[in-house]
Amino acid sequence: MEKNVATIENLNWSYRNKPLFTNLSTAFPKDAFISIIGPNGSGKTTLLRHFLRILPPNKGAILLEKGDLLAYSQRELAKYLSYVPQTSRLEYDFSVYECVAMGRYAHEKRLANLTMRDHKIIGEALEVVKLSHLKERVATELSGGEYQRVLIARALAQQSKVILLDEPVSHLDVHHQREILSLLSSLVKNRIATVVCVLHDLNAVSAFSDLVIMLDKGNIVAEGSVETVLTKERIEEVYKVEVDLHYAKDAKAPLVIPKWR
Amino acid sequence: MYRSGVQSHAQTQDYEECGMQRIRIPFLIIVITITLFPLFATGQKEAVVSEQSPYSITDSRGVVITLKEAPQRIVSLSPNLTEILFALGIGDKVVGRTEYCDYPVEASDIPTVGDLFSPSIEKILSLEPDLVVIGNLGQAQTIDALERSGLTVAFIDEGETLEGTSRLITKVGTLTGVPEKALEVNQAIDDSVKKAQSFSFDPPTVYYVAGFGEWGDFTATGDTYLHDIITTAGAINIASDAVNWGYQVELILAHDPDIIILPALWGSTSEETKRIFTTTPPYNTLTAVKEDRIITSVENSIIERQGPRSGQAVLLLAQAIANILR
Amino acid sequence: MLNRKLYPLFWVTLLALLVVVTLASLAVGPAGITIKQTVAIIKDGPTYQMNATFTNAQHRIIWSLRLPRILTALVAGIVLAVSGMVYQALFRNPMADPYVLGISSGAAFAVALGIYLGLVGGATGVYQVPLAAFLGSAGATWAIFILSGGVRRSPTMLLLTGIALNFLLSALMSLFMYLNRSQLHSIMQWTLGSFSTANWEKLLIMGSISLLALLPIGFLNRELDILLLDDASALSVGVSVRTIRLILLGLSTLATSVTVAFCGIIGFVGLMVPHIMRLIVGPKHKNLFLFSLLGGALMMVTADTLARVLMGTTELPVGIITAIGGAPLFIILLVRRKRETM
Repeated sequence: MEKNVATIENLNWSYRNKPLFTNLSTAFPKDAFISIIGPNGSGKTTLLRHFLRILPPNKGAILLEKGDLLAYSQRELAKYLSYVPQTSRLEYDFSVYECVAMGRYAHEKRLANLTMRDHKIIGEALEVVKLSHLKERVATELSGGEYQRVLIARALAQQSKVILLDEPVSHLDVHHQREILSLLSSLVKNRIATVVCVLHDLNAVSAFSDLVIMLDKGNIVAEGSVETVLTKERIEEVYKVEVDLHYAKDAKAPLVIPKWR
Repeated sequence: MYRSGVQSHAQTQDYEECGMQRIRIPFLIIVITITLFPLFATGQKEAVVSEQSPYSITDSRGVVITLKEAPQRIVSLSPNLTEILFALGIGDKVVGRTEYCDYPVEASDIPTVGDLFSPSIEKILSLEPDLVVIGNLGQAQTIDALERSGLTVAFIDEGETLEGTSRLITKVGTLTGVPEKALEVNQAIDDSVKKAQSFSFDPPTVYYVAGFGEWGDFTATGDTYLHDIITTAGAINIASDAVNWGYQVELILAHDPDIIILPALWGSTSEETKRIFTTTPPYNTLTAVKEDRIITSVENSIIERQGPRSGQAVLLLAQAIANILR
Repeated sequence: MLNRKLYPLFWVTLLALLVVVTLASLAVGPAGITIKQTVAIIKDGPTYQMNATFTNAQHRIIWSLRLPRILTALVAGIVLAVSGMVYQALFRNPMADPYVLGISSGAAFAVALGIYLGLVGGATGVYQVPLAAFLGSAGATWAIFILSGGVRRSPTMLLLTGIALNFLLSALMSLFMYLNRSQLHSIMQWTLGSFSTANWEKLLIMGSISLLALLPIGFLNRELDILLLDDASALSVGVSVRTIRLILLGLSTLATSVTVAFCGIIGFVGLMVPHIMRLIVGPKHKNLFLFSLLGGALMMVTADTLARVLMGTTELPVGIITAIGGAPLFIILLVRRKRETM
């Protein structure tokens, strides 16, 4: 249990009488950058939603450090894992600072204000995502990329052991994509958190992941290092698209180029 | 993100407005024409009269109503007019009434045509009346619909005073061919009023409870018929400066009337009404309640209806007041 | 939006205004009691002692009529504004008001039905109407809950089911009003809302229940903030969304139902006060709670005072005043804000 932040054992899930997950089993090792990939509809988001208990998993199917996921209280769970959604539109004029401060909820005492320590942590989170200069700005005025960084800062302020992200960079330009993924990677390298990331861009996966889990129609069809999972045959089989793989000198991780025409 | 959403919405609005302008103007013309059409289409309301006939009055709208002969089939759409017709001795000629025409008791044998606000035009037509009489509770739509169907309608409402009542009775009497009887009825009313005014007491202040409690405070304000009855009976109505039936409870407390007139509430008995009134705050703090100077004996249909019993109403009220003040 | 540093000044101003309006309200009314007399009456205390300056009746008007009435208006204003704030957070919709889940249509329907059946009517026992109204509200809210699948379903489902049921109940109420045309004005009167029948006893019942129900909400400010995020984010940050929603919904619905039961249906306050305050002091509920509370109380006492004095001997229904008075103010603020963001 020490090695893994989460273990999934025989997870079953059906949607409207159509089974999606059947005895799904895998594990998320500690301090790793884990990418979950697969075509649309393969169950990636669904898997993450089980962790939030928006979709409740069956008993004993998901085990965390202290035991069954279902046994955790909401606050305890928040201290353990945090979630960054794909896009979330905020329609209210909270400041960037206030948004990030929401991440401290699980650590706050009921009737107390934010402590000095809380403020310190929020400040640090803002530093890490390089948004300190915007902390008093109203969050709705930020660009898409900036707002995504706010959400990540919130997850950081939560100081959870695991950060789950659902396609955090799909709507960002390439500069911001690199920024955020590098940030996440450095968190992992500095042993601050374990990152579990659903990604579409196979090259990003290739560049950053320690572990790749490939889903197709609710089944794990491959699991392992980048080189073992991202093979031409497998990609073509699962994604149904012809690709070319290029390897830079001395690199084990491939560059994936789909054949567009 | 928020900003861009608002901007693009404004843009589509511009496009819509261009298109809308084109449709709007002809549409407006059509709507206006349709609305004004009835004004042009209204036919003659008045029966053109060449000869003088005894059965003729100018009704309260100013319309001249003339009948060639005394009406034999009358539909009455107001309770007070029904009463008057019976008092004039021609109750047998009444072929239709409203549900609320409950006096005299013989009226219940007459078929009803519906309620005061929307009686059935069909039903009225089916009774083939030669005269329809309607009083101040009648609706303009009803009169209009009946006249369009070719019936003769007399709208008779001469003001909410005792004097108006006598004019009312006279008009009805003239139109129906019994003017002498009308004189008799009016005389009887006058006699009752004179008798009432023979009581000698100092005019007490009085409050008439038309409604109280949860549903708001309502009273016989200065513009009502009840007010005239109360004043003629020799009392001072504390709500004489108010209008339109509405009143505020703190004014009742401020005036603290000598006597309270409390008719039975709709659907309840006078004992029950009195019990509730005298136990509901803040009415239970009134002097008149504490000293039991409450008149419950006057039935509302007598006192509220402008008709032949109005003289009796004044007399009953004066009598009740005199009894209390004794 | 107002600069954060000015918040204390703002609420002090609101509080001062509230005190002034309340005192002024005591002194005005059709009964023509002068300010000097009013002051003397207050000094005299709740039991009447023979006094040359004022009569027993005047004393009673101030102590038994106006004072409980003004306090009832105050409580009602607080309840509606705070409930409105909660509903706007729960539905993530700044246009929500406390009546979306059937409280008003349920109450009105129950009262109309009660009158039609003769169970409630004339001026029956003081508590029959409030009881009927409360049961109607509770029934309607419960029905909406069940029909939409409970807390499990999204706020949107609740909202839509609420709209549908509101239509149905309104139609049924209109039906009973029509069948009962002679009592029409009674029902209308009630639905338009009024404080004219307020007294100390009713105030005690209504005030204690509704204010106690609102109290815990004051401690859930952070949760209210977080509920404005989407469900997934709220859960991820550690808020038990379902539980908190249920608690908030239950408390504010209880407070509002009790208020509607005693005061009729007074609209606009629950929608406008939190909305306006949000435009001024921002969305943080720590601030919004206090300002909505003050704003609601102020608005309601002002509206009630106007209701009593605008037309001399007659009283206007409070609901009409709140609508006519509040709506233009609301529009002005919205337009000004729209200009800011464009």
